[in-house]
Amino acid sequence: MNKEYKCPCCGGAINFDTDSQNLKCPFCDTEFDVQAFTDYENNSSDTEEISVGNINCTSEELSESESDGISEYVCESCGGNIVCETTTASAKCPYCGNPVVMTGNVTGMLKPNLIIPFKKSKEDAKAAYYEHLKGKPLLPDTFRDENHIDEIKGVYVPFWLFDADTKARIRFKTTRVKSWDSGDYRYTETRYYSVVRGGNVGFDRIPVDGSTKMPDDIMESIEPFDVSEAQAFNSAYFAGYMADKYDVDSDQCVERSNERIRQSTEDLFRGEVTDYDSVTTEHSQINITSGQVQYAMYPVWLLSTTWHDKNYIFAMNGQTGKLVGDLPVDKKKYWTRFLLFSVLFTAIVLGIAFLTSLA
Amino acid sequence: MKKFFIMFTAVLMFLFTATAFAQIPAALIDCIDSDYCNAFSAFSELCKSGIETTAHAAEIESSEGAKQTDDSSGFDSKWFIISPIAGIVIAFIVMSVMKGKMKTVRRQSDAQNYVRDGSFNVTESTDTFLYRKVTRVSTSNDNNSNNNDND
Repeated sequence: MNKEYKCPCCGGAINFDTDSQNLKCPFCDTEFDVQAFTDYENNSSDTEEISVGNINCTSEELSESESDGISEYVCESCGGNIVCETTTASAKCPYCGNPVVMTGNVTGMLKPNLIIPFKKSKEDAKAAYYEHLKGKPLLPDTFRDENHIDEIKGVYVPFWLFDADTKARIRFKTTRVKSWDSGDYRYTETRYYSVVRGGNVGFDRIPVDGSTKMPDDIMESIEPFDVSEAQAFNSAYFAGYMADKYDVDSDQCVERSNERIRQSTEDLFRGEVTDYDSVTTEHSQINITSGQVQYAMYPVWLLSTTWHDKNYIFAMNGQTGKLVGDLPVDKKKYWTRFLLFSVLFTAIVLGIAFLTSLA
Repeated sequence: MKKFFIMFTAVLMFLFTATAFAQIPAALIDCIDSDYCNAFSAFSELCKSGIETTAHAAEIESSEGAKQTDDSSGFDSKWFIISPIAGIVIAFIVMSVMKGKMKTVRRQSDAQNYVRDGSFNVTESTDTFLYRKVTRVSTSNDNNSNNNDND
């Protein structure tokens, strides 16, 4: 079952507008506050607490009335689950570029706790992409000249947000080095210390991508998102965008969050070890106590382009506008510049050496 | 490998040409336009003198095993080896920086952006001296000697 958000004024399908942060009818330009529109649509439900392992997940299932407005498509090529509002005219899968086929409806989908609405428009994504291509001397000319964006899609990506408290005790081996001259000898004294730092630190809302179809490295590259701007989930924000459904649960994602917590904790305590010439971690004991887990939808613009039969994917943070994506390197340009720079720097070094010898 | 060989040869040719050109007196270059014949004669004399000097230096080097140096300028010939190596290393660093700009997708190694404000507390802090180690290096001549003392 599909549902369109219809403009109460003219009956046209309405979308979420990034500039006004309201729902806007593209036909009669009437704007609606998201919450007011939702109240108008009478979409509300009670919450229910679900226990996930040793952590509390406060997510809830979409009610039938809420999932009415959403349809699920499954790409037959890559298997990606794409959940989108029915008014979305989607012809291609944003992950692999192949046409998506609508196969079913949303049933029993976990309702997100939070959603960060899109603040950047499709035009912003295009502009950021072309800006991304500037100042890249090794970019193949044909990539720049023949380049066209195959697809731009605004996608709400599912993230698990982890809260955690850590208690740590880390032992470092450190040195202080001192040198002096005496007679015909130069003395170097190295003093070795055992340094221990212990304490605690807390983390809030560390995001981990909950979709296997979305490359984790790309999703981490467009961080950070400002969660303070997040809103309580409302399916009206999906209007005009696509949304991916999580297919990795929080238990599977928590390890990635803990990896980052361990690294940060060690870095923080290492920062407290000062006045030494070298610091090496000897032993670290970091106990992580998991806290609340939240399910959130974050806005991402996905751009894909094809060059030399290879698909290049770029992602832009739909909130901050940060765009990432690896670019191809022109080998001919690379080696030509390498040769030129080699000759240039060789001449400079030789010239300096020659002038020094004359002095 | 072939490209590297061509590149290396080109670098060496450039260096030797530039060095040889530096040996020509400025006065000789200035008079090329006005008095070409005399300038050419002077240049040929210069070449002859250079060849004789080089041959003489080679004889000395072979007989005494002396290190080859340019006596007129004090320029050490080892720079002809060091400079291309340094040039290639610097070029490689510059190209690595350029290539690094093409790659913007990287995983986050930490969660520094998500540290709760005011939650970082250090409750234990101890620094314990373990031992010391002293090394001694002679500075008087090339025959360095090392000694270690541990406490």
